[in-house]
Amino acid sequence: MALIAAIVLFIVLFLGLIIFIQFCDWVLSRREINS
Amino acid sequence: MFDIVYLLSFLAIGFLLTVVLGDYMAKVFDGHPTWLTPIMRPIETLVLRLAGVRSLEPQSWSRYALDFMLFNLVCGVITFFILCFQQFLPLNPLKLPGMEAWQAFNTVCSFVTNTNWQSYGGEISLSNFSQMLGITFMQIVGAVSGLAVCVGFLKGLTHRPTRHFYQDFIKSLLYIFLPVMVAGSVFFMSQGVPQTLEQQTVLTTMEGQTQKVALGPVASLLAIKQAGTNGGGFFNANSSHPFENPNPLTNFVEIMMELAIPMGLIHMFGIWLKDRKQGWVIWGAMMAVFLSFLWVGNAFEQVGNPILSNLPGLPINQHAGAFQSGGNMEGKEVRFGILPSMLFTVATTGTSTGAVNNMHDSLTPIAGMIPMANMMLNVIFGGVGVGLMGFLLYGIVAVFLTGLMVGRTPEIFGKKIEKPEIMLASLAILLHPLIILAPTAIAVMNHFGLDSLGNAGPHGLSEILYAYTSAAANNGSAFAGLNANTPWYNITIGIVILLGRYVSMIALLAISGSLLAKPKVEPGPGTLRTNTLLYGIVWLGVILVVGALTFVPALVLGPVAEHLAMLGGKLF
Repeated sequence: MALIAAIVLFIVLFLGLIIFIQFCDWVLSRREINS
Repeated sequence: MFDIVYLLSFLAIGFLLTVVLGDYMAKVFDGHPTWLTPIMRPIETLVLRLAGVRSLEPQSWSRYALDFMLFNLVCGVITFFILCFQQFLPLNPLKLPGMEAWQAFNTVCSFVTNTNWQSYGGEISLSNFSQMLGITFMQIVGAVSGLAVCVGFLKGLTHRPTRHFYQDFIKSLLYIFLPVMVAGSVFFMSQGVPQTLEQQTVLTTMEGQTQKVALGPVASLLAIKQAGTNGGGFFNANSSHPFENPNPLTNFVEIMMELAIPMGLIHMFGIWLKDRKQGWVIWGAMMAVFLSFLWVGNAFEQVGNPILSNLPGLPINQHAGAFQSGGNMEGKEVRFGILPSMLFTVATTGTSTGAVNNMHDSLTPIAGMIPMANMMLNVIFGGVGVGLMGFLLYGIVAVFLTGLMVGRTPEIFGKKIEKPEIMLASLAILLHPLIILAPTAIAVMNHFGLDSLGNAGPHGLSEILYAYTSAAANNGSAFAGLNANTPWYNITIGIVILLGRYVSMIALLAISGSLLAKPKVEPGPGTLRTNTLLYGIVWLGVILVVGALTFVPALVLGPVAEHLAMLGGKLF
């Protein structure tokens, strides 16, 4: 059980960071639209 | 005299390595031929083809970051299974069981990010298979990935559109790390470091007892551990162990290996900017802080513990003399002495290596604060790639602040700095203290944090603060005295390690992508020049002020309070 929880947490953290990449991309693309 | 020669050799060889490696890396990552090209080019092409990389078209920053993250994720998951199921895998003559799940989580987070924090003892927990294909493999992946991302970031800053994660990765591996690892392994073997698949040997001691001595493929791990600013030792005692750092020469080489690539990257950046002076301003600013930390730490260690000097009826002489090194030798190896130990400490915490050749827990309080402060700043040469990136991050904030002072649009390296870049830079800078101080505060208020402590009072606070600082800075060194193998510490330190590594890297790649898309602005009479001594001082000032504002209160409660208590005759 702990093994599954640990590996799921690891993958979820990485997915969160990948969403952060998309967020940064969105922040920068808004700047391009505004300019 | 020995100390002066040691220090001058360090400066001279450090300068030489900066120039030689910087020139070499600039050629490699620009695709120019080097002496290794005839051998490595066919391998590079073959590996990229086998890996299924069809196109080497320039990538956007987000694609570059995504490839980096996915590659690290896959490597991490594979290592996770190797560690948890090592009992079913080969090269496990001692029949060691699989690693516990949360400890494996912590270990994978630690090694995939080049941190190498260890809540386990290597020689008693891991099989040779896990050491080689889990730990050493991840040490290579973590270091090479870090260098590749730094190269991608610098290409963005210097207007080089040719960036592709897998190409930069494979170049970092084949042209930089592979030769260093081979040469380093051979050198360490020549000095007596073991390189064998035997996991232990049994010896008879002088008293006639038998003793099991751990062995293994130490030399190969040691080379990447130092050159890749990884720091995770084969043995629990790390570079204090005579098989992992046998003599003063290996100690010196280990220190230089930690610093070589971070120093070379600064010079490479200057070459790419076509402004070598800019590189030297950064190098000089970092070296000034490095030597200041060394001076303070060494001075306090040489004075030693005043309580021992004032013992009633039995005062201990702690002065250096012909027959003793004097000072505080607790936790240090006699074969190194005080200055080489402190130099190792400043280098290993400055570069996010985390290897240790002396026990930081045994340093006098103010000397113990030095490695913490070094990791809190996290930019004094820094880990492979990430140190220079962090320093340039502060450079962006510094031009913004100075721009506000003189009422001009901030520019750096010929690019205008605007709101999105400042937002991302602020996020990366503010996250660092948040992920150190918040879990430290939670740990000191709850039994699950306090139960692991080996010492009470301010020293106990330092032990917890050090652990999270080490994790956030991706350093991996331990203060010792804290049992970090509990679910609370394994999980929270693992999360802090991941956030400390990736959030700032992603933000910096985004900034470089944003700057790359902007037109270059030619310097005019109103441009604030960043390659001057004055600007170097401003840059450093911003780093020190931000660091002081965020961390001084915690340091006052920890090492400073402990120092004052020690002067009052109380130890913890």
